[in-house]
Amino acid sequence: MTRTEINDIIVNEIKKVLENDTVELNAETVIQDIPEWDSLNNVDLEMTLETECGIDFEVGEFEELKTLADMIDTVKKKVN
Amino acid sequence: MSFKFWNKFFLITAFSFFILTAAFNFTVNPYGLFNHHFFSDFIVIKKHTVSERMQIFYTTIHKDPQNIMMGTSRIGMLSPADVTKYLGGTTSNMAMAGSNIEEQSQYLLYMIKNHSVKNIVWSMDFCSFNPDLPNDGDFTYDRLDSGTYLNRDRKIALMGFQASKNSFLTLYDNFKASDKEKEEYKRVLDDEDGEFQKHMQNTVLTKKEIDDYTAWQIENYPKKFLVVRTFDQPHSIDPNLKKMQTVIDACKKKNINLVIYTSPVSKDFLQLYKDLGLEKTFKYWKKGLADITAYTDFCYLNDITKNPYNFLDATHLHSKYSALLFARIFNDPSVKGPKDFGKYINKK
Amino acid sequence: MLFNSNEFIFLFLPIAFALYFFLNAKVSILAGKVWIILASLFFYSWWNINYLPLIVLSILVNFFISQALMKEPKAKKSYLLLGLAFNIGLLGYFKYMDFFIKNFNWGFGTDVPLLHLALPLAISFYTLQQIAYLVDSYGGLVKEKNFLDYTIFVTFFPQLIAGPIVHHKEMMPQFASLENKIINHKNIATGIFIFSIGLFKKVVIADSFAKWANLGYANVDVLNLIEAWATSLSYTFQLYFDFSGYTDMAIGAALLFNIKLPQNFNSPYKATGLIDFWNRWHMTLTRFITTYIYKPFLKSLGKISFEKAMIATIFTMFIAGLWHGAAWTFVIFGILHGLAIAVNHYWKRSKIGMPHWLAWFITFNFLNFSFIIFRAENMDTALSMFKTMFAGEIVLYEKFGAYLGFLTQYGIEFGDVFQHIKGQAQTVAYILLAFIIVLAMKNSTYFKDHFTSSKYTLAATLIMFIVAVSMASKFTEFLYFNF
Repeated sequence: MTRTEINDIIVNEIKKVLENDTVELNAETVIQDIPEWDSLNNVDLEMTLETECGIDFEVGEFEELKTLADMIDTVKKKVN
Repeated sequence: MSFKFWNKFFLITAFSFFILTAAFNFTVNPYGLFNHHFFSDFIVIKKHTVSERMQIFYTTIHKDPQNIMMGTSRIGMLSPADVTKYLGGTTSNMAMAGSNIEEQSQYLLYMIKNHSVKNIVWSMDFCSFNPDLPNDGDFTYDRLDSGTYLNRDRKIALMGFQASKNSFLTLYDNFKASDKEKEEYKRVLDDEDGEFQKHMQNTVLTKKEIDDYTAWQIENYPKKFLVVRTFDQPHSIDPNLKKMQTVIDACKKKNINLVIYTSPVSKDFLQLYKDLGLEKTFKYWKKGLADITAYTDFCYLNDITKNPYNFLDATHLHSKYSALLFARIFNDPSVKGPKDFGKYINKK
Repeated sequence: MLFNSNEFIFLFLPIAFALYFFLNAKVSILAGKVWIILASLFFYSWWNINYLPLIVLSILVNFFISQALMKEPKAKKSYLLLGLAFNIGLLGYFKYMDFFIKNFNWGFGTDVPLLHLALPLAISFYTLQQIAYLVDSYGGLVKEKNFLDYTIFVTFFPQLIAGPIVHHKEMMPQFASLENKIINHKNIATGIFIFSIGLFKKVVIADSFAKWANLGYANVDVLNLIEAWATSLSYTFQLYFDFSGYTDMAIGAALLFNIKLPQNFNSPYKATGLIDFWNRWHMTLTRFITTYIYKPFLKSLGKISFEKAMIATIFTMFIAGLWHGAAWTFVIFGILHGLAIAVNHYWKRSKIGMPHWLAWFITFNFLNFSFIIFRAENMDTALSMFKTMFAGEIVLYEKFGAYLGFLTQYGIEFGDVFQHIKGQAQTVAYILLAFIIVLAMKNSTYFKDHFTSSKYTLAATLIMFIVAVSMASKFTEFLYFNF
């Protein structure tokens, strides 16, 4: 999996759960700072990444990831 | 400014403030907590206290009396001089208004443990045995034996706006008062010959006033002192009898002479016990007392309790009978009065 | 020893602080660590020394299980289960056994005697923190394995009794860091400042409200309508100022030791929804239950769906309610909040707008009502309070009688409005001021982050500190209604 692929999964999922196509996202976006973002959305994203990328997050691991870049790094490490 | 300077300034200012406050309150000593006599000729009048219990407690321990009177306000109205007459030495009336047995026991145990008490006169009041009579708000179970209460007393007497305010008011009172007023205040305060009780003995209430006070008590006592939740079940008073037993045991161990009697109440109040369905508990109470101690019983229909005007209200015996009551307890035939007043109960 | 007691402020804290940095500078880092553990255990034992063995046992067992778990990856699941059983068993036994027996007796008509165990202080807090450590050890997320740092993480006195619920990842590196062993004047000043804010909140604001709230809840049956509202609002404000004040004091005390505790409150009464509220109120608890209960539970349900997420939310809040105390009122409180969060999610999905003020109004009132259930001794008291708030007798200030006398024909009386809660005009003023503080003012975290050493902060800190200490040192008598 490339970084772009992972990035696309994340961005699409965020737009989907928020039902909002106009939200601005880049690698440095802090996920908790996205308006309207809540813990339910967070689990959604976590589980989507788990199924789409075939990985597992440990309890508490996903919460530690603040920015999109953090997420991409961690997912990348787990996939390989 | 630097953080270091900020910190220093804060610490020095705050602590000087507290130390000055404490020194001021210690000197004026508005609650009489500290046993010192700074400016004792000038600062005589101390009216701004916060807790009656606290005041009674510290007055007593500073006096370090040989005899203690304990109970509720029923004994509070009686004269220490009448007790001193029979027991000698000095006597303090440590009565705590509206107290229950738990509280009375705590204070007695403290005095037994920490002071050289020789005699205790303990007045039994049926209401004090009510398991649903709440403790005074100032009461915590271990307040005297753990020392936390005493520390708290020192804290509230030294620090804080409340103590400072009362110190200022006390100073103001003493600036204003004449020497004569101070003399008079001192005489009542020392109470060596029962000054307060003498004053009470001279109190004359009209029959109307006594009737009104009586009616008020009959109406209001069932809301607190005689509230019936479990009180109508005789065994509900067992824990309180047990607490009494611990005091009796402690006295025995220290060779302290413990004199117990039941406080008289007027016939209307005896009737109230019946009306509230407390008769069974009342009988059980008397029997229970007899099981653990010898005592003089005044709390029954007799020559004094029959007449409501021998009382200030339904429950407080007029102080003019103080001498008679103690004469009966201590078997002194020289004090004359009605024949049927006081029965010595001794199971053995 | 409460943070607002003179023993803590004038003796324990200065001594703990001075000796800690003295040992770090003159003896060794190790001595400093041992000292802070001893001081914390002393602080803990001040209440009741009988619980000291329990916390020590809990620390030892948890630390050794987590070590064993990391050393033997093959058996790690058994170790995790063992550890969870130990923690939940301990908490269950001390906190929930009597509640369970009571309900069992009620359900089956039996008469099993209650154990009457006193709840060991702080057990709810230190158990949660250690469960997190254990689960993270299992997940391979634990890097710090130093026993002393672990013990400080659990026992560090500023957060030991009532949180914030700290996470080992944010704490243990701080205890290990050498930089933090040197006195830092900025942290001390900031710590004193934030501690003074907390002390003021607790002593001056929360304790004033407590007086009215306690009297109101003690006399629920006789309150009039306005008193009932004053009582419930008093409690709502008492709870916030008390808890956030306590947290501020914890954060302040920890800062003296160069330790940064996590933020626990972010102006929660400004919330415009229940999801928003739980992201602002007792944030470290929310963080814990989201990570360690909500997510694992939701994941265990298989493929995620909105309905499943709502079930998980309600379940999680049910647990959170029960965590607050072993009583049905807390269970109901938790479930109500769970339901309200679910409603909030549905509403969010529906994309129907709502004016900001209305959202706030609904949220605040829901909170105020739910805190009645939280505070009341039983549901009867809570229901009777609700009833009075809507159908109680209306008594207005007696001087209004001159102008509004005609209202008496509608059953409205004039008299001493707040007689049963011994309140006065002051009560109204306090409630209005409290609204202004929680709605219009920045919170203490903001003040902490923007702290500078100016004469203004110095004056404000001195005033808050002196006033709070002076007001705490007074004789307060419990007031009974009847006499």
